This record gives sequence, C-alpha cells and structure tokens, in this order.
Amino acid sequence: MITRRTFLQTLCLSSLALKAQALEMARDASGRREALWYQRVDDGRGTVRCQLCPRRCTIPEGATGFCRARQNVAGRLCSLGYNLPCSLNVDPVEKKPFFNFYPGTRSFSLACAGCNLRCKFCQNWEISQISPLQAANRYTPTSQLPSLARGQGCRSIAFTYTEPTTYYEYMTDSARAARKAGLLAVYHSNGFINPEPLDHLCKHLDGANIDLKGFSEEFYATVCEARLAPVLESLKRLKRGGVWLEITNLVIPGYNDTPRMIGDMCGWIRQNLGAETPLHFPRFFPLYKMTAIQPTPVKTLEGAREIAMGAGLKYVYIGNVPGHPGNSTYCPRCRKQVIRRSGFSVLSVELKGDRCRFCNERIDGAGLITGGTRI
Amino acid sequence: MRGGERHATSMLSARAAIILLGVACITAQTVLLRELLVQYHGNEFSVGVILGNWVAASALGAFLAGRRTWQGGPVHSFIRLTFLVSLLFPLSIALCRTFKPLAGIPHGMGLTLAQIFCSSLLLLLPTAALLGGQFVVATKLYARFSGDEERAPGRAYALDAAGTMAGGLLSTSLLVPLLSPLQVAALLLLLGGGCSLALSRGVGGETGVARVLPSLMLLAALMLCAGGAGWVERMTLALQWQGREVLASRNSPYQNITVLRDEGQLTVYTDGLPFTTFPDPDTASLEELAHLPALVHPDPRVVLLVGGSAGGIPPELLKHPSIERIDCLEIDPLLLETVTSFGRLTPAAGAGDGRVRLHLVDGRRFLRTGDGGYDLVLLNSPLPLSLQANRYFTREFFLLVRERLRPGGLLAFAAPGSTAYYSPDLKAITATLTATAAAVFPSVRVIPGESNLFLAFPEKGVELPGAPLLARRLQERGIRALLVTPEHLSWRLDRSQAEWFAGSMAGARGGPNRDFTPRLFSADLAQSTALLNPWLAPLLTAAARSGSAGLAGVALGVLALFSVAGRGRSSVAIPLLVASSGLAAMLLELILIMAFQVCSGVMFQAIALLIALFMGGLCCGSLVSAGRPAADYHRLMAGEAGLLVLAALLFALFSWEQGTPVSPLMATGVVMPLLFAAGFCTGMEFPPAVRLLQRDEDGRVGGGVGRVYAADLLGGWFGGVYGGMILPFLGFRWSCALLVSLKLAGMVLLKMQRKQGKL
Ligand code: SF4
Repeated sequence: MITRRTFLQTLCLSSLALKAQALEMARDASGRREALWYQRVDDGRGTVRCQLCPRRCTIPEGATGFCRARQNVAGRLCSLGYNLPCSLNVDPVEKKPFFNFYPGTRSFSLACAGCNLRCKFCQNWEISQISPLQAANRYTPTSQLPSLARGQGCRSIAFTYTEPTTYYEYMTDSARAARKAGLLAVYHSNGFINPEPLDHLCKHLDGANIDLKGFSEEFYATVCEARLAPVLESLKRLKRGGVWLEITNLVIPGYNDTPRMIGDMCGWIRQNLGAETPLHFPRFFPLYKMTAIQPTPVKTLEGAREIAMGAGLKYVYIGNVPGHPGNSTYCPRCRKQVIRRSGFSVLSVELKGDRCRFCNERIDGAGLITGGTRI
Repeated sequence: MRGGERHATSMLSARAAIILLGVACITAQTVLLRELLVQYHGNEFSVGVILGNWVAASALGAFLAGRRTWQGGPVHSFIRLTFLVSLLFPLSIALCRTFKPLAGIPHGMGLTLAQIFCSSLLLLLPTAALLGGQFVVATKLYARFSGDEERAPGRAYALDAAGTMAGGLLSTSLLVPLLSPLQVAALLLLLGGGCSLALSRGVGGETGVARVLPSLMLLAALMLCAGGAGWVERMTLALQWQGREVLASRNSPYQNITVLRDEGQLTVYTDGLPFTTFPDPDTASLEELAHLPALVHPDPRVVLLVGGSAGGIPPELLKHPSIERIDCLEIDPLLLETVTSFGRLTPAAGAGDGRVRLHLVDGRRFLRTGDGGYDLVLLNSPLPLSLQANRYFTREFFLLVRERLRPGGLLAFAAPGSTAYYSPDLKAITATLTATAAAVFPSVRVIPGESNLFLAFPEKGVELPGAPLLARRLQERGIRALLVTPEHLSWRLDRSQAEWFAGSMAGARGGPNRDFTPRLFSADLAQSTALLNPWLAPLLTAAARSGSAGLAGVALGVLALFSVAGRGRSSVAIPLLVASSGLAAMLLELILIMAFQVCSGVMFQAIALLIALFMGGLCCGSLVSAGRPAADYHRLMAGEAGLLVLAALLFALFSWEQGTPVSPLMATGVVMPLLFAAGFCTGMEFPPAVRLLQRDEDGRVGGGVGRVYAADLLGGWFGGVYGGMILPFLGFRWSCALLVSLKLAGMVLLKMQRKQGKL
C-alpha cells in the first residue's frame, strides 16, 4: 500500500520529470541546441569562434554567424534550426541529383534555413538567405523523421535545398536515426566545411552530392563569396570516408564554361576521386540575382560532357534538358544505355544486379541492385 | 537686315529654340529611359526612379541657372548650353550601355535599388541638368526679345510645353521606332545647332562656340546619314553585352529586343532579360503548359494561346490530333518578326500549319470583340511586373475568358511554385492567383511543383483526372514528348506533392487581383524587390498594410505642414505649393496613364497622345493664366480646386469598380479628358506662382522662374518615385485619397497667405 509520504514523493518526482520533459521539449522546439565545433575566445566578453566551416566566424554574444544559422547565446554557440526544418518534402532521388545511387527511389528531403555561401544563382534563396529565426518552421524531432519518410515510401532521407552544414547537429542526429531505422542518409552540399567536422559526418552518411560550382578561386570569390580549396579538400575526404559521391557543376554561360576550366576540373576529379565519380552538368536558367544570363547552350553542355568523358570519367550527365541522351546512364564498356531517363523520371533499367545486361560490366554506384522501383 | 526685321527674326528664333528645347527634353528623356530600362531589366520600380531622378536633375540645373549671372547675355549662354547638351547626350547614351562593365558589375546580374538610384542619377545628371538650366536661360532669352519680363516665364513655359507635346508625339511615333538612339542624338544636335546659329546671327557676332557648331553639325549629319551612328552603335552594344555576339538590337513601341548568339544558341532578350532561346527552349515549361491542360481536356479542339506563341507552344499543342485551330495572340509584331527572321518557327509559319492563326492584338480586346468559343485558353505570360501584364491576371480578364469557354473548357496558366518552401511572398502570390480564379470559376485546381499549374473550370465540382487516365490519353493521342511521359505524369500528380502543397499553403489568404486593385502585381513586385533589396521588403509591406489609418496620419501631417507654411513667407509657401502641384500632376498623370492601360491595353501605342494631351492641358492652362496678374490668387485657387476635384473623382471611380470589365470606351471617353484637365489645372498655377514670387523677390525674373521650376520638378520627382515605388503597393484608390488631402492642404495654405495679405 502506498503511504502518504511515498505518494507525495512520487507526485513530486513525476512532476519534476514532467517539468524536465516539458523543458526538454521547449528547448527542442526553440530550435536552439548547443553547437558542436566551436571554441570560446578568451576576451572576457563571451565571444566564440565557430570551427564548423572555413569562415571560422568570430561571433560576439547575441550575434549570429555568416550563415545566420548559428548564434552566440550567453557565450555558448547554438545551432538555431535544430528540430526545426523549414522544408520537408518528398523528391525523386534523381532530383538531388543522384543518378548512380538507388535509382528510381524516393528521398524524404528536408532543410533548415541558412547557408554559408552567397551564390548569386541560388535556387532556394528564399530559405538559404535567411535565418531559421525568420523562416516558417515545422517542429520535427529527429525521432519522427524515419516514420515520416517510411510513410511516404522513401528509401532515404536527404539533407538538401539549403546548406546542411549550417544545421550540422540536426543533420547528424537525423542521419543516425534514419540509419538506425534502415533508411539511407544523403546530403547535397556545397562542401564548404572544415575537415574535422566532415570526417565525423562521413560516419553517418551514405551518399553525398557536392556542388563544385566552378574550378577557379576567382569564380568562388566573385560569385559565391567563398573559396575553392576547402571544397576540393572536402571532396577528397568524402571519398576517403567511403561515402558514395556525385558531383554537380552548374554551367553558367560566361562564368564557368570555358573548355579549359571544365577540362582542369575533370582532370582533377579523375585524379583525386576516381573515374567512377558521376559528374552532372545541369543547364543554367536565369535565377535569383543572375536574371539576365541566357540559359546554357546545349552545345556547351555537350562539349563539357565530351571533355569529361575524354578525361576518363565514366558517368557524365546533362541535367535540366529533359529527353537529352545525357540524362541516361551508359555502360562504360559497351556504351549501351543501362538506365534510361528523361528529366528525373527513370523510364527503363537494363541492369542485371549491378551489371550491364548487355556486356556484364559492373556499373559503379550504390543500390543499383535494389534500384528500379518505379516512382 | 533692318532693325525691325532683325527683331522679328530673333523673336522667331527664340520661340523656335524654346519649342525645340521642349522637344529635346522629352526625346532625351525617352531615349535615356529606354536605354536604362534595358540595363535595369524593365523593372517597374526603376521607371519611377528614373523619371524622378530626371526631374530632380532638371530641377538642380534650373535652380543653379536661376542663381547664376550669365556672362555674355542669354543668347550666348543658350548657345553654349546647346553645345554642351549636344555633346553630353550621346555620351550619356554610350555610358548607359557601358556603365556596368566600367563599374565592375558582372554581366547578367540584377541591380539593387541603391545601385539603380545612384547609377540613374549619375547618368541622367549631365543631360537633364543642362536642359533644366537651359529652360531658365530660355525665359531670359524670351524676356530680352519680347521686352516683357513679367509675362516671359509664362510664355516660355507654354512654348516649352508645346515643344514637349510635339516631341512626345514625334519621338514615340517616329524618332524612337525609326532611328537608333545615337541617330536621335545626332538629329537633335542638328536641329539645336541650326537654331543656335540663327539666334547668334540675330544678335550679331558669333561666339567661339557658335563658330565650332557647324563642324559639330557636319559630324552629326555624318552620324545620321553615312552610317557613322551604326558604327558607334555596334561598338557600344558590344561593350554593353560584354563581348557576346549581338545579332540584332531593335526598339519596338513596347520594348527593346536584342538577339545574341552563343554556341549556335540564339537568345532573344526583351528589355535586357532572356525571353526565349532556340533551338533548345525551356522544354520543361513549354511542354507542361501545352500538354497538361490539353490532356486534362478529353477532346480539345479550339485553343486560345495568349502570349508567348514564339516560344514553341503551338507545335507541342499540335501533337494533340483533335486540335483544329489555335488562335495565338501577340501584342508586339516586332518581337515576332525578330524571332521569325532568325529562323524560329512562329505559329504563323507554324511549320506551314493552317490550324494556327496569329492575331496581333491585345488579349482583352480580342476576347471582347471576337466570337466563338474555346476548349482551352492558355495564358502564357510571366507573372506581372508591370500593370500592363497584370491585366491578364485579373478577375476582369478571367470573366472575359469564362464567357468564351465552351462547355467542358478550361483556363490554364503557370506560376512559380516551389517544392521546398513557400515564403510569405510566394504564398501571397499563389493565394492571390487562386482567389482571383476562384472569384470567377467554380472549380480551381492546382498541379503543384517548381512551377504551379493552375486549371480553372467554369463548371462546379470538377476534379482533376488521375495520372493513369492522363497517361492513357497521352498514349492514345500518340504524343511523344521529351518531359511529359507517363512516369513524369505520375510524379507530377503524386498525392504526396498535392498534400505538401496544401500543407504549405495552409492559412494563406489573398483577395482577388483586380484591374484597379492589382494585388498580384504588388505581391510579385514585393518578391522581386525582396530578392535584391531585402531591407526594403518590410517597408513596402508596411506601406501596403497601412491602408486608411496610415494615410490619415500622412494627410494630417501634410495639413499641419502646409498650415505652418501658410503663415510664413511667400518665398517658402509658394514653392511648397508648386512642389505639391508638381507631385500631384505627375501622380495623376501616371495614374491616368495606368488607368488608360487597364481600360484599353494600348498604352504604348497611345503614349505619345496621352503625354500630348497632358502637355496640351498644361500649355492651355498656363496660357489662360498668363495674363491678368490681378487674378493670380484666384487662378492658383482654381488650379488647386481643380486638382482636388480630379483626385476625388478618380477616388470615386476606383471605389465604384464592380469587378465587371471596364469598357475600353472609358479610356477615350473618361481618361483622356481627365488627362487634359489634370494638365490644365497644373498649368494654370505656373504663371501666377512665378509672378507672386517675383513680386516677393522684387522682380528678379530668373530667380523666381528657377525656384518655381525647381519646386515643380522636385514635386514631380517625388511623384515619379512615389508612382514607381509606393503606388503599386498602396493602390490607385488610396493614392487618390492622399492627393485629395494634399490639395486640400494647398487650398488652406493659399487661404492663410491671403488672410495675412501676402497674396
Ligand atoms: S558554419 Fe556558419 S557560423 Fe560557423 S563558421 Fe561557417 S558561416 Fe560561420
């Protein structure tokens, strides 16, 4: 029988527990979570230095970093978008784009607001150029993500649209939860991240698509307010970390479309990441601040593809030109079409397992065996 | 030549010079405005800013000229200024084209409002300030020859206005369409030079500048006739497009059209923005707009395509075997001609297909006057960034469409969407579009995606067919498309996308977009503004939300300011009054021109006539009040009262709008007379204001004119900026209410001045 004393004790404890839980929920819902990868600056004013990306922002109390997604709250650096994605939707995995990775499957795609670059051609500027504090967010704890993704028939969870590095903590925890539930975790990133956090992240990722926006420091400086070298370093580390890697190079007329720049880039990829690394050349359409630039001539894209294949890359794609032969995957040996696509739609698959049905050559990628689930 | 004859010739030359000054002013303004619009990509904001900066620079020139003592008398000063304008105007054209690379702005990049403001001010300043200063010198010139200092300003103003009126007509109907901007500059130089030489002979003795003029005129003649302008034209265009291959650059009454070639791809630019590209167009957009609505209809036979027919939609539509006829509506013949001349199949050529008919007419006019029904009406127009484009997305336009839809027919249009996030601006745009369609059509369905496809049906309870049925129709009709495949259809109509869209739009509210309440235009403008000027967005939203309460505050503030000024010196009160009239005039002119556009859709063709009507009113008004100085107070009062009544009338008119399409007759029957009246009331105020100020300042003619002119132009500047920046957000109605309060305050000011015996 329960005594009055035990009853009161239990009541107290459970109310305390409830309070703690409520506090935890409130903390979660506030989106603020102490950030990883930062240091306190010894200036007696609570300033911190973020070590997550090569900007290494020095952030005074109350201020946010360059990415607008990490704030110094009373001398502690907080990630602002934790549990608070502003985007949650289902996409074909091809839209990320991943063409040699579980083709024809769906990916549960999410994003928190913020970005550590300032690309003038950003497709998602409405969320990448604001803080999570300004966005309309949906409270989604990491534990809910796997069931949401499964409910939509998704094979993977993708961190995309904005720059996932800026919500690093939410991304790693979500990726962990996803993999625990048997889902895959992929991300589409600008690769502008420091080596240590990236090495740690590699442990939680199955696939990465990195925007290699141009192959010169000048392009990165003038168009993205960033640097190329750290991105190249990230590509090498992702490869070494065993993450399936694809690369996207948006070809912008007059900016990053010279055969020489494309040739140098392809040579570097071949040498440092391997011939099996898929490379995507999407067509540029006027966007964001670059509204007066013409769409990329298809001939330029075809030229880029030829250069890349000439450099020895096995899987080179042309994007944003629906129906173009460059949308499809070809066997690197017999050159026959093994995955036929138009846009993001997979139209037919000519694979036996992960091998070409015509010449039995192994096609590089991940999940090709289980691929082919029509979307 | 005898003295009398000489005087008569000089008087004639002076009159001609002032009229020509008016012509030069409006022509230079039009040419530079068009040049800058291409650089600013036709942004509606920039029109107000450009016009505003033009008048500000003119005001500065007038002000400085009024204060300056001119060496060598007005004739030689006038000639010197003509010489300077002749040199600086073509230079400004060249600079308009090249300032981006010179300022290190990467090509293809949109400009922020601050950049637009600063660059337009700097580029317009030399020409506009010199022309403004020249007007002040011209009044002195007139005073010298006529010997009537008192009436000279009013007469000069009337002559200048007459020149502006003629120049407006001339430049819109002849100069701009037929000549290149540099040829226009050369022609102005020839005319100005001729006039200056005549003036200089009239006073005997040529100055240094007058001696150089003939050589400069010869150069201009060469530019005009011997292809010199063409060479400079090509050079500056190459710089403007930063080394890309320019195949053609032409001006239509609607826009600048430029064709560039790169790697075999031809891109047609309108006002500096890519309009269409071939041989590889934006397949995704055109296939979706052509095929999805056509597949939703079980048996589409007659189709109406409003806009963009050169972009490749007709050939896609013709893949549906049931289609018997496509009526394509295009408003700019030169655009079509340009696209055709570079080998793009237009619907008229339409691969020689007789099923496609081209109509070079405004969509509203076509729907109102034509007959026959349609199974599909496809609206292929980008979301409006101008009031002209807004006319195709209003409730009034949709009503016209509904009347022409056959049973089972549908209206379809695409608008930007998202699969990632709906920002408040994008939500507002989407909600406004939905509300506008829903105000007319009982069933409105959206196929969401990166681009949202809106389908509106005149019958109740229509549901979209599922992907399998559409895929079956695709196969049955034997359509081979690049993007629209059964797989694509199944993704596009996937339940997850519809649910996500519904979730993202939850709670979004928007009222219907209407002709005189252009909500969509405002929302679209807010989004494009936020993109380049994030700091401005909250201000504009606040202006849009402030409504009547905010306006009441502004009106009270104006009243208080004018009451204080009414008690003070005339030298402050009168310029303030003139500035408020300048503002009211500019704003009324803009509102009426926009109203004309809304009613008739042929504003660009009629713009010269509209400006001429306003200037004609201005001219008549100033002539009427040029004499009888004793009635100055009453003339000013009448001008103020007239402007007040006009603003009140327009307020009533816009409030009365019932949602039914306004008759085009309103454009000629109501808007045109009102334009003349607005000009008349404004013109009435100028001569008495100058005289009153002169009396106050003890008869210094130039100073009085300069200040009044500067005040008028400054008010006009504010009116222009307001018209470009605030009018779209505040709307026509509340802007008219603001004008009513402004003119009421003006009348109070005049009454107070009178009471104190200052008038
Ligand atoms: S992640 Fe953000 S706060 Fe941290 S260094 Fe990079 S930009 Fe600065």
